[in-house]
Amino acid sequence: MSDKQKLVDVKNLKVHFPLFGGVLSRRVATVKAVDGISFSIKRKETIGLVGESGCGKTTVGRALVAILRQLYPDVEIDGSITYNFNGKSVDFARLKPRELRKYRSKVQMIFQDPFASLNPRMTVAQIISEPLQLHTKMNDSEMKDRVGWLLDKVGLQPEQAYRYPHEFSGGQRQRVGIARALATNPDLIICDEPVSALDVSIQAQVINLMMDLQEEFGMSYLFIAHDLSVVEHIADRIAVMYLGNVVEFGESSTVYYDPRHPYSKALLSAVPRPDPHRQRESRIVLEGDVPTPLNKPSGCGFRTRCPLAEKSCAEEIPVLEEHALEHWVACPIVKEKNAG
Amino acid sequence: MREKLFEIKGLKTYFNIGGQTAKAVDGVDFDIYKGEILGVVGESGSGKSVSLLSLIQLIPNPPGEVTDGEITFNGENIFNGDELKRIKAVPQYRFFNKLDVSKRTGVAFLFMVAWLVLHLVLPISGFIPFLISMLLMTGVTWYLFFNSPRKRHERSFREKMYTRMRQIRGSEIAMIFQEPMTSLNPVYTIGMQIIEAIKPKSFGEMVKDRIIDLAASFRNTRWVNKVRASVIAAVLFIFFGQLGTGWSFQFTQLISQALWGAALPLVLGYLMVGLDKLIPKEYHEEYVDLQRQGIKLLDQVGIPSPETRLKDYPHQFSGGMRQRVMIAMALAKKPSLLIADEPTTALDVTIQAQILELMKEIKDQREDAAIVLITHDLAVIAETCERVIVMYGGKIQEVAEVKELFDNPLHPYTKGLLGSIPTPELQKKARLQAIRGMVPNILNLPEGCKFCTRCDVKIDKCDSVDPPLMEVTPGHLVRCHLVIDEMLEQQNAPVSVSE
Ligand SMILES: Nc1ncnc2c1ncn2[C@@H]1O[C@H](COP(=O)(O)OP(=O)(O)OP(=O)(O)O)[C@@H](O)[C@H]1O
Ligand SMILES: Nc1ncnc2c1ncn2[C@@H]1O[C@H](COP(=O)(O)OP(=O)(O)OP(=O)(O)O)[C@@H](O)[C@H]1O
Ligand code: SF4
Ligand SMILES: [Mg+2]
Ligand SMILES: [Mg+2]
Repeated sequence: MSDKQKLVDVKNLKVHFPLFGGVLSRRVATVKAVDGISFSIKRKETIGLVGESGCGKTTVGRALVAILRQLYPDVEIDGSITYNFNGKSVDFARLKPRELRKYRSKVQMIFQDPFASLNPRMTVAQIISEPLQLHTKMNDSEMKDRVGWLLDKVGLQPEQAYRYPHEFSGGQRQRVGIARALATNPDLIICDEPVSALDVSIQAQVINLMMDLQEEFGMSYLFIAHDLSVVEHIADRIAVMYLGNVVEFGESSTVYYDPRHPYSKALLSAVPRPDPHRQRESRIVLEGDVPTPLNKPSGCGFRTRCPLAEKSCAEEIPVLEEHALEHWVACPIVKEKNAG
Repeated sequence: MREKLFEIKGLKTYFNIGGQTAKAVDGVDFDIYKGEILGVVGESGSGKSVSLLSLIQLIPNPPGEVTDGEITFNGENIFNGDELKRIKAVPQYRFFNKLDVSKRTGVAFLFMVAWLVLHLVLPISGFIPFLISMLLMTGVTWYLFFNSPRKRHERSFREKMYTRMRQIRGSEIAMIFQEPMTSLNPVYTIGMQIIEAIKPKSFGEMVKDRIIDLAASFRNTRWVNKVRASVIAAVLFIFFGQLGTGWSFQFTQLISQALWGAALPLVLGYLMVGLDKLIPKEYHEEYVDLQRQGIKLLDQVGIPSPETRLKDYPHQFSGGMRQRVMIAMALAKKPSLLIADEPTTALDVTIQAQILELMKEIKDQREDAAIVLITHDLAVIAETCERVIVMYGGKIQEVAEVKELFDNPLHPYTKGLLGSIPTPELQKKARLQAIRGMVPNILNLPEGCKFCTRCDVKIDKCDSVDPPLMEVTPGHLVRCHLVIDEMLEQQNAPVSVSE
């Protein structure tokens, strides 16, 4: 893969939240929400990010749009998030807020909850034009045209521009969220569980819309979701996360049908499939409690529940290695087994 | 044919929303057979939860009411809409029934004013007669305007029904809801709540249980720790004692404070042991047995080291474990019907799989019990259920065995649902066969087929005539004009010669 195609390259990204406590408000612990992950997103590509609740998916998304420091001033970010905007490379993990502002419009985010993520006191037109006001120098009539055009693109009527979010259904609100994200022609849209709160029949509409828009405008998506069959369908590549680390990364149908990492295996064996004839091959049951990023085990985060765990797993955090062409797995034990 | 556990006919549950009637469930017929897992799918707001809650009369009233239908449980009629209708036919008020409720208070007020005016005219004097007249006025006004013979009937109908329902809910039907934290009491240990579910306890019995627990933990405490507790208590006593006496540091006082402090934990401990001895042996045995049952239940739902987890509080459990505790508590009663309303929606897939598997195991263990699983996830249905009900707009649109439904969906809505989810056969990134449009407002459902606003194959009569639910092949019921017309046509068509 040439670097030209790469939109963003995440290298060894760490996001730690210090926890303060006691009378002196001393640092008592560190939440290692993201603990050294590497992956990349190409242009026009959709990356699916999956993993159980609390494994750090949203935190990765927020790091990529560089809003973590705004939300949590204490956060510690390490590693690099190198974007390539028209040949110019910028590292979002290191950029000063003032310089960042120039590039913010290039990366946008869509949220899970279409009910909470839109300001109830703003009309749809105001919501959609907000990023335009922040990032462009459009005048009012240009902005109005742009809003009308965007509404049309996401399948809403231009008349609906002057209504308020509460007058819309869940699916329509998510369309408004998509229009807002689309407003500034971003190169990357982070979609954090964009369809989880919607009805199945509406989910399909929104997924279709997102695929159509990608076809038309060629932006990349980081698609965070827990419905693995949807992720498999729309993503080119899937990254599986566990407790702050990416444990497997590869072409989506490879990861979906032939997972290699013991955690991905367990996860995918648990995914229900919409086929009543299917005889379930024996499901891999994970024993043991799920650790939290506060009491993360040493070495491989999965070793306390892993059926393959050996003594050596406690020593260091495994890194992603290419086990097959473009199929990256972070488990030395699996590698040994496949080699031997 | 399998035996019916529940038989529901023409069930209607309406809500009053701001003066308008929301037909949340509008004429639903279905059966629940013993030993099956029945799935219920449908759009949000289609009436899945309300249908099942109506079965056991858990509808908040007001604003809601089960207004019509017939519910039979194990051969016993537990709700009869006809009876309710007969009661509703009784005039609401004894007099002036034409007067509607909003005007009634106004007229009653005028009547009272008129009575008072009469006082000005008529020569009634003295405080006592005035008081009597006032009482009389209130009585007469109430009798004339607000006395409702229907209310009495209604109340006795309700009381009878709710009493029976409470019995049934207490012993035969268990429910699991989506959010387990709200259904567990945060101030009691998991063990106490499980034991309470197995055998409801009186206040006295709860006190006894606490004494047994405390005595046992005192007996199990090592001497080192007992001494430690005494030392700490002694220090505290000295501190607070001195605080009280103004830091006098008198030697004898110090000694007595230390001794009192040191003695207190031991005295309390032995008091518990003593009280424990007073509790009859049978009660002890029963308590131990209940605890054993609780441990067994937790073990059955796959909670690791249940003996120790019994002493934990709900917040110490993860979401999946709380949900499993809820299932354990639901199972404690050995219910003949378990209603699980989106039991896994908030959980991770790995835990979802465990809970669904658990439900299947439970079903296999008890042949006469049934499980109803409400969900919006078709994959969950495919994996867990044997029969499926598809709901839309407060009505059942299709019922079939799970394989039949997935292989041969007939209703356009069911087809749309199945088209909305990606399948392995579908080419990657191919568009999904989404259903267009959106769910109509519950207050403004179409008159004909409830799905007609989104249906791509509708015919003329769909807008105005609601199709009936018809059995197309044995066990496969559909509510769609198109399908029904086609079926009738085939029946009337001459039988082809080759057969
Ligand atoms: N500001 C914060 N301070 C402390 N801990 C945090 C903070 N933000 C997130 N965390 C912790 O970091 C971990 C990862 O959180 P994150 O929201 O990224 O998970 P997620 O994968 O998106 O989960 P979900 O699927 O539930 O949305 C969690 O354990 C969370 O509790
Ligand atoms: N307490 C209530 N007060 C007023 N209306 C109610 C009440 N409970 C339910 N409803 C109405 O009844 C209809 C059916 O609700 P129900 O909860 O059965 O939907 P559902 O199919 O379970 O949906 P979901 O998938 O969202 O749980 C809804 O449109 C709702 O507006
Ligand atoms: S009855 Fe008519 S509108 Fe309703 S599903 Fe059938 S064809 Fe469509
Ligand atoms: Mg998240
Ligand atoms: Mg519901």
